[in-house]
Amino acid sequence: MTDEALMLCIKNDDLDKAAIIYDRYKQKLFNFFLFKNQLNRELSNDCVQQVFYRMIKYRKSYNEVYDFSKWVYGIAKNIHNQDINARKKAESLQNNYRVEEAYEIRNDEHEALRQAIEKLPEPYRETLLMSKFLQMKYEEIAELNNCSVGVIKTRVFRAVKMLREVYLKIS
Amino acid sequence: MEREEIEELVAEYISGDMPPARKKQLLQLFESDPVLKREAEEMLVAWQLLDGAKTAVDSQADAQFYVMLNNEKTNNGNPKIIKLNWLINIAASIILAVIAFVLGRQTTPVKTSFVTKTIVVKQPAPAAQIITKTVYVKPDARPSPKAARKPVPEMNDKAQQSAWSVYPSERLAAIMKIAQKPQLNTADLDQLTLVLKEDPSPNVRLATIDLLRPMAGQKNVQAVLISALNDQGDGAVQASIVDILLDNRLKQAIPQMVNLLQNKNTTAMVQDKIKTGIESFLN
Repeated sequence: MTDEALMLCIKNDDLDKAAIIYDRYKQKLFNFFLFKNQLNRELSNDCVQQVFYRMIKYRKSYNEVYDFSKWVYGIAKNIHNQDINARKKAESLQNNYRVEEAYEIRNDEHEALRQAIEKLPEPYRETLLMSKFLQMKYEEIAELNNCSVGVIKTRVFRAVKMLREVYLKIS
Repeated sequence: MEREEIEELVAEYISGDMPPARKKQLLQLFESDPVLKREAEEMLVAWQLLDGAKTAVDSQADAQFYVMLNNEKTNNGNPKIIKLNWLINIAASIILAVIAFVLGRQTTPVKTSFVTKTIVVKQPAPAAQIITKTVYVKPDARPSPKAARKPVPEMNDKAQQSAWSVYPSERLAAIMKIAQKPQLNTADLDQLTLVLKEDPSPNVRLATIDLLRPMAGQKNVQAVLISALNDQGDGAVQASIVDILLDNRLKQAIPQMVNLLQNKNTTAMVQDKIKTGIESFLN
């Protein structure tokens, strides 16, 4: 069954199908949030749970005309934005300050890659994450971001180029 | 070829999502620009490295999801029940309210009062006929104007009280006592008027007429007699009053006498008297 067909079943209150969707998307969403949330696993996990919770809660609002992955990404983006706002508030309340840290040199090359991703500018990082981890096509990303496909391709090119440079520095 | 176009081609190359025509175009570009080729290959390595950065989801996350899913399944079945519960609650509330209202009405003592009235029937009877009625009266009920008792002349002395006795003999005695007075006052005259109109005994009324006969010259007495004429059902009484009115040639009594004349129950004797009297007035 396609994602859209499964979501239609969920919309019609066949909630067991949500488990299949979960298996298909949990990994993608988790990694997406992981690199959005500065590699915070617990927070990323909460975000993933929130996505599926809202997917079930607002299942009646799903329109079968649209692509399911885009719909889910819309939910994920909203959750991330709300999370950022909440964290900003909390940080301002605690009057914390963050020192622009130097690259943490770790032996784990994957960890270095994750740190390199984190250093990317937000538009580049988001485009890269959507393309790589959510496995979305450039056309879909462009549609979601209300821009041309060319802009997305350029962002991906520059993101990978910068990633490589930063990664080399870290490692 | 512009730089942006080259970047787009490379982006397609590293993601693997590239039509054959575009791939051919890029390969031609690589042949003419080895630096670009090396850069693109290095970027492809970096892109593939990202796969290694992917992290598996914690098993705890799966458990959390299935708990949430089960909760949602449970809640999903509930809305109809909740709606039904609402209806049941509303229906139960209405029924309870009705029961409470009915029970309250039945158990609350009704504020009522009972008044005992003694009604004396003024009617000749072998013995005093006293009817006692228990009448239910609402607490705030007021007597209607119609129900108000007709003003009765004050009865201060025994003679007056006897005039309303149930025994005609006592009433006659009371009339006789009044007749012994040298002059009648207004109260006496009112009482006699009432006797003429309401006393059930023709003898008592005849006695009253005899009492008034000598005073027929007085206008107030004339008025009493004229007003009492149409209230009489007994022929002897009617005849007595008509005699007095004719003797004193009271023309103002003609309408009452005509009424009596037109009444089918009036006896022939009285009718003859009236006809004769009216003719005499006209002549």
